[in-house]
Amino acid sequence: MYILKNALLNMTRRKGKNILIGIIITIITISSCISLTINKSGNLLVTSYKESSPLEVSFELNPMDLRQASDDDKTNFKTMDVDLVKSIGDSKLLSDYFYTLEVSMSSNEIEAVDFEKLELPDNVEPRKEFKNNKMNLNIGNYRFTSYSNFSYLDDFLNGTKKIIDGEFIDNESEEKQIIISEDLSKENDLSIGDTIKFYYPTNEKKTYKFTIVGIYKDTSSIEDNSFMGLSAMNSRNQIYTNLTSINKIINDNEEAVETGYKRMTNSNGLTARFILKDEDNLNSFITEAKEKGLSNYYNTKTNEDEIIASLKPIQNISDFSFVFLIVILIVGGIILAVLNIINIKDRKYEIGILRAIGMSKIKVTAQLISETFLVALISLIIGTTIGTLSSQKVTNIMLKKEVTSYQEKQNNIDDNFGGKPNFGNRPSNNTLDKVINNNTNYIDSLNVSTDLTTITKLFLVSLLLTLISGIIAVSFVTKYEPNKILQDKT
Amino acid sequence: MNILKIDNVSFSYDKEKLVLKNINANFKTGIIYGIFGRSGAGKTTLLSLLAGLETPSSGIISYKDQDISKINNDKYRSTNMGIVFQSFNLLPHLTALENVILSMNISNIKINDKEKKALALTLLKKVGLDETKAKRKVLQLSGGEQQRVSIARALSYDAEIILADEPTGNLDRDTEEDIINLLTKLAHEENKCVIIISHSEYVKKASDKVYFLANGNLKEAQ
Repeated sequence: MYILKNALLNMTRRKGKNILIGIIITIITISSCISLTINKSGNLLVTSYKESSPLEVSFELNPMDLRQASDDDKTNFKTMDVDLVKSIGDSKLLSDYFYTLEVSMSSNEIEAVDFEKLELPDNVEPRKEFKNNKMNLNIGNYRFTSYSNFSYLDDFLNGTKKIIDGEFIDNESEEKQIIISEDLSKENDLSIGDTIKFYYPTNEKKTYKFTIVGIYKDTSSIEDNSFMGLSAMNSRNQIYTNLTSINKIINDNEEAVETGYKRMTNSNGLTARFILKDEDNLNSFITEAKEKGLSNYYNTKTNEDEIIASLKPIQNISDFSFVFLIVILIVGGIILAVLNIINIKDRKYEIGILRAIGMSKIKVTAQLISETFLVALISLIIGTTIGTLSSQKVTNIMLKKEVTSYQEKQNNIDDNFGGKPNFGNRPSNNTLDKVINNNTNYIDSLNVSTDLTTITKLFLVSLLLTLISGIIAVSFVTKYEPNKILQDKT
Repeated sequence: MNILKIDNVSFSYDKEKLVLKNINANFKTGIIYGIFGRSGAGKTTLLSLLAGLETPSSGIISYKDQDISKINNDKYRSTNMGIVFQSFNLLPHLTALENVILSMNISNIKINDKEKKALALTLLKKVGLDETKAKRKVLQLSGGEQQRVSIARALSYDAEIILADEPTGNLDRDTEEDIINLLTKLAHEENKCVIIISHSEYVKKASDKVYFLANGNLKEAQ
């Protein structure tokens, strides 16, 4: 008990030096606190991004591989169809899946948007030789697209396309609904409620009457969709319809659809994307898909690179903050040890007296360490309080921007889909999503900096650092014999 | 009963020149010993050896028949032996009273804080320091007063042996008499073993046994 009393007495007696040590420990604590918070906030953002960007898997066929395959393989090859997609999609390893169906259609009632009629940038030359289907590829001028789940329609999610009139199509409707581009509507003076007859390019006699329910604005650049100069490849001629309508067209023209697409791509206009629950299950999922009948000629493609690239800036900040924390602790520890050594060497005579009148090395050490410990304790409390308050600000700044942009993105998605919120909402595990949906005051709920575990860890690490630096310093002095110290002084 | 025994002890600081050469002596309780010699004769070295602050190059110093190099030296110094250093060795940032109480704390004396304070004040009064001076920082006291604090500290935990290195060197004649009388009383009335290193004739007269240290040899005066 007297050791603690003496420590307290000495602490106040040696105010100047203890304040200096205290300031250093406080600075180390504040810096560590902020570093830990940045690290934690960064990790939260990374987790959040990963949750909102799960690993998506698609299977793509390389026609060249199939052309080089043996005759047997060619005969046995089975194109991925909707039934197979549904079978693969019914996997416990997936959180969701969707597929898209596309067919090209023609119409005698309207004119496709022509490249020549668009305001092309100076560097873009329309390829006239391919224009207006002169290659006779059985490809119509309009690309009909449908999604099993429109909430995955990236162009509308990222705002490249946006409903400006009417509403989005209803996948459940039996009515043949379409939404068309603003350019196509202007070209043909079309408006909401108008009907247009389309036919499959190889069967002009069978027509399908579609009703325009929405008009979208396409802001994609013209270079992006100038592939081969084909009208159907011009995104302004893309028409979105519901799944029931496109299924009927495909069923009615099954043979022609297969032939038409297979000639070009060995595809039947079907693409699918599977969303994994856990990215570690990729290989198990591929094996399962192949067991369910997916041909070995399909290659697997994921959005992993895309996710990693997007996360890199945040990950870098997070990693840097961790390295910064280590550097602070090492440099701070060295400074503390040096200061302690200087401080304790100043007290060599005092230590000599205490040892001469019978105080054991352990008790002398305990007293000196207690003094450092008390200074450290006070500094840690001050440092952690300031650090926690500052890091809350840092967290808020880091997350507020992210949360605001997330909220804006969500609002924009609803807007892009013509104000139908259900289209923009996929099943989500996103942390930010949960926070925003459950808490109006989202910043308060992201209480990263006041995390008790973090504070405890920081506290223990700093304390350990102080004790180690204290012990190093004490060991310098206690190795001297008391008589030697007293003789030197005399 | 021999409480301290010096048995063929030699000592050198540099392993070449012996400061003490095969010295022998026995110290008993109830007796006041005076050790005399010229400056540099090795008197303080002998005191350091007896206090366990130095280890003999050869020979044995035993406390109650136990080699002091083999017992807990800290406990030996803090409970069995009270040392009055020539240069006082008081903690300058503490008051006279705190210095005495600290010594009691180190010796782990089994009385409460209040009793420790009362005992310390009594001891300081005994050596001629009133309460006002007892509460002064030691650096605010004169050399003689610091010497008294040092003595009070050595007496504070009722050690069996008192080792005093020039305890009256900084004191006037009257105080010297008071202090020596006090140490004599401790030896004769409280059965302590008091060993004083000094140049003082008064101490020599007050000593029951006198030793001379010269050329590394310790000889008892006849």
